[in-house]
This record gives sequence, C-alpha cells and structure tokens, in this order.
Amino acid sequence: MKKVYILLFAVIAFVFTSCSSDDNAVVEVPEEVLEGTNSVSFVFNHQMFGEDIVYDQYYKENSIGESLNITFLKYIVSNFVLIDEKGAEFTYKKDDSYFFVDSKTKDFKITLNNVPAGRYSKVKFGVGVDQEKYLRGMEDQQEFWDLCKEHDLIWGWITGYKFINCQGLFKTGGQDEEGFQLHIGSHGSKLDNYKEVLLKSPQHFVVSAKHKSTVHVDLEVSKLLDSTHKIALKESPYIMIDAVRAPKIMQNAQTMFNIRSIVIDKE
Amino acid sequence: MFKECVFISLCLLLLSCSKDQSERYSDDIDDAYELIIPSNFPSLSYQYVNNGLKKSRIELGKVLFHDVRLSADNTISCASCHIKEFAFSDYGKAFSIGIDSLVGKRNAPAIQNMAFMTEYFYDGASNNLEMVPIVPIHNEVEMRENLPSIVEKLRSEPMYRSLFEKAFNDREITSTSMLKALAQYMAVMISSNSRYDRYVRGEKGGTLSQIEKTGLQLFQQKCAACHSTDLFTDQSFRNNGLQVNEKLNDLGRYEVTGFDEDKFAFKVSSLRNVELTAPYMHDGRFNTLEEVLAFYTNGIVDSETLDPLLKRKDGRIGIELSSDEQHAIIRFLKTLTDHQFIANPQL
Repeated sequence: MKKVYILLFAVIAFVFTSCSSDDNAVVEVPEEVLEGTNSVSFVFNHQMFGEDIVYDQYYKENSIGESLNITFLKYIVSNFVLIDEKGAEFTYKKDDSYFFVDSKTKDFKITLNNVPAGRYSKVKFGVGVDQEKYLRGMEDQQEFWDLCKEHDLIWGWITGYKFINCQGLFKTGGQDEEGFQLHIGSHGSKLDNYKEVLLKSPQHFVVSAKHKSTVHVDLEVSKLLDSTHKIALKESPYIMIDAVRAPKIMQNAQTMFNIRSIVIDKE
Repeated sequence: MFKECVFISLCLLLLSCSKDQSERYSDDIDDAYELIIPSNFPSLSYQYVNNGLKKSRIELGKVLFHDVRLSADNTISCASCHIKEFAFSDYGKAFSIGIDSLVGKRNAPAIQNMAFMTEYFYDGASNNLEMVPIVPIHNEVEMRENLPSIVEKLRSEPMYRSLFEKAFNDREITSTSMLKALAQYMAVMISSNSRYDRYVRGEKGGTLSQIEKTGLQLFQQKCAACHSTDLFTDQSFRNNGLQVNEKLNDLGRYEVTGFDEDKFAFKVSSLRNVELTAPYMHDGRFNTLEEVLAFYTNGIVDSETLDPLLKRKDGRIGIELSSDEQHAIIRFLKTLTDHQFIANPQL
C-alpha cells in the first residue's frame, strides 16, 4: 500500500492540461479507469476556534461574549450520499447509514463500505435521524437505538433520539460559571429538526478496487452557538425542547462541517 | 476482490434465507391472528410492518405486560397501573403509584384502540406504538428501568426463552421482540362492542333508550367536534380550560413540542368506557362525570391557549348545557361501556 496525495495528481494533471493547451495539440491523457468498490472513511476532527478541541478548558469569549468549557459532545450523522464530478449520486444503504460521533475520541472515524468506484466531489449527510426511519418501528432502530442509549443520545421521557448532546460550563462577561446542556432532537411529530449538510470537497475522493479514500472533516464546535444564529446561553443554559432555539442550533450545526483534506490509499 | 464479492453474496444469500425462514416459521396457520376492524371504526394507524399479528406474540405481550421485571426493583408491571377491569386505567387513582411508592403527575389513561391512534400519551411523547413502553419504563417515578437491563432479566427466565422462540424465533431475546410483542398485545385491546356500537351497527342488543338517544344527539352537537369518530377522540391536543394546578404546573403538549401555543394542551381523551375510567382529566381532578359536565358548562378558565372551540360567539366561554342535557349526555356516555372488552379472556 502506497499513500498518494490527490493534490499531487491534481498538480500533474494541471501540468498536463496546460501543456496540451499550450501546444494546442490533442494529447490524450487517458484517465485511469476506476472499477470495483472500496471503502470511504470520514474522520471527524473537532475544533474550537480552529484548534483541536480540549475538554475541561475554557476558551476565549465568542462573539456573544460567552466563554465555553465543553465537557461532552456527541451527535448523530446519517443518510450519506456521495456525489461524483458529474453530479451522479450514490446513496449509501439506508439501514447502515446511521452513525454516532463522539468528539472525545480523537480522529473519530466512520466508514462506508462497498462504495462503487468513482471520483466523488461532494458528500451529503444528515445530522440526526429522519422521521421516516423513526416511524418504521423498533425493528429498524434496535441496534442503533441501543448504541445511542449507551451514549446518551436517546430521550426517555419522550421516544426519540437526541441528535446532538453537548454539555459543559460557561461564563458570561467574567461572571460565575454555570452549567449548560444542549439536547437537540425532533419534537414529537410537530417539529422535525433533522437537517442535511452538503459539503464540497477541495479535491476529488477517488474510489476503486485500488483506491480507498479517507475524508478529513473539521468541525468548528464554537459555531453550534455562534454562527448563522447567535445563541446566548445566559438566556437559556438548558436547551432541550425549545421550539425557537433548537431549530436555530440545528441550522448552526449545518455550518460546522468543512472538509479539510482527502487522503487516498492506493494499492 | 472476486473472492470477497462471492463471500458477501453468500452472506447476503444466507441472510435472506434465514429471514425467510423466520417468517415462514411464524407463518404457522394455527398461530395466525385475524384482526377484525370494527365497521364503525376509522382505518388502522399501526401497520404491523415487520410485526405480523400472531397469537404467540400477543400471548408473549400479555405476559410481559404483567411482568414486574420491567421495573428496576421488580415491583411494578404495566398492569400495576393499567387494570383490565377498568379498561386498563388505574381505577380510582388520580395519580398512580410507581417505583419506591413515588407518585406521578398524570392520571394513567385507559389503554384501548391503540392501533387506531397516531400519537400516544397526554402530550404526544410517542408517535409509534412499538416505542410506547419506552416512556413508562424510563420514567423515574414509574418503572425507572432500561431496555438492556430488562432483556438481561428476561434471558435468565427459561419460560421467556420458549415464548420468544415461539413468537419471533428469537432465542436470543432482544428488546425489539419485546417491544413488538407489547405492541401486539396493546394493538388487540380493541373496545368496539359497547351497546352504542351495536346500536350504530344495527346489531342485536343495540337499543338505546329515549334519554340515551337524546344524549347521543346532544353529544354530537356539543362534544363531537373534539370527541369525534367512533374512537371518540380527534386525537388532537387542546387546552380545555382547566384551572392550572400551580403545584404540578404541567405544561402538557408544550413539554414535547416547545411551542407556546401548546402550553396546557393535552390529548383529547377517548370517551370509550368512560364510566370505568374515573377520575377524569389529565390530573384526575374530577371524580364523577357530573363534575366533568359541570366543568364544561361553567368551570372553564380562559387563557391564551384556550381552545377556540370553547369560546362562544357571544364572547362567553364553555359549552351551554342545561342540567337535564348534562344528565342525558352522561346517560349516553354510559352506553360506551364495553363489558365484552373488560371480560375478554384473551386480554
């Protein structure tokens, strides 16, 4: 196994294309034919203000003037769709497309297996669990439900998943510290907080029998409260079933993710 | 790679075979249960996807429903607070007593016609019948248990091994099978043979007295906007104008949705077997139907979220009913008592 960075490919490809256009001659560079299937992994790197997250540590104040100390962050990602350079979509098997992510485990990795060969440029996924899956009954939940139960991503007093569970301490303007808890999920049948994220990759992630890709995704955790919407914890440190703030936090969550780089393992 | 493919295909084949087999296993004709949907009922909400009705599953559900192992200290079963003779409500108790003798804050509702409902509990905490038991199981003052722990307890009971095997071909005993069996048992708790039912279906024994007929007519005019269909609930959540109990400060539907408009809204209760399910309202504050009707006539408290149906055109609130009319409605409501249901040996 030899590790090759796609960037190198891109540079070479660029050199080739520029050469050919300079020469104004038709120099066919046959693109490598991609066949078979392989896995695509996603590694989630959790950050605060661009640095790897450290638990039990206060960070500088956010734009709302609140300093956070994160002690717990787990969430659910689901329904992965890979989109290739031509816009064709590969939807990962729904039954296998639910994952939880623990920010405490550095480089938390999830893997999609048997992805068909292709040059993918975008990935779409959900944060949380869609209502359709939920309403299919217990048979469809069992394994994932048990897993989520173990990781405090299940509500007991209502039947549903916590899409995001984030806890910690905060200080507002040098005042005493207070605890905060965000338990964000769908509100029964009335408010569906499941949200989709679409990420463009800076480089193609190549998949074939010979190419295995790993997508490194950065998550800027501070954006959960400080992004499209500014959520002041001082006003409401315990956000659980909140019809105003919960959807805003989910919209903020959509902006947290960013693909940093792609690593391709080539046989 | 080819080898891998073959291996995966083989696995898939094996998987599909075993799945077919398990279905075939439970497709035993003697075990089939035919669900008869009463002709005066709306269509089913619970679709039995991946959970075909079987006698063996209903039986298992019944055993589980009565099993105290579903609570942390093995003292409380579902049946502790949902008693068959009272249409699976907790007769006489405003609030039921749970684990460690703790008291809840809502009246245990009757369990009946669940497969026709889309949302459960006074606040809609669940919209999936198979998930319903999760709420009381996890509730700190009810059963305070969790699924993996219950499954562990069940696995140590030889009786369950054969019951689960018979019902689901599940020797392992999983919480999925357990919840499916409980859903089946609750799904066959169908109350549809009251005197009123026989009356509307034109069946033998379906006679109503004059006063009961008057009550029915009044009911249709004054109550059926919310207590609609022959389920006697439109399954909506409404604030019916009960004075807020400051001590409990139960926000009702708001606790599940977080929308201000849902504050103090509770699910419209079915009135089937209402004669058996006293006391009434989400907090069991009224002991008699007379009190309930009197409340609707002149006890309703106005508030921001009071249901608009309870506001009259003349600006007053409540339902206009003379005491004779209230009496007639109560007489009608008592025709909804289903003696067959509470005597059904299968339940």
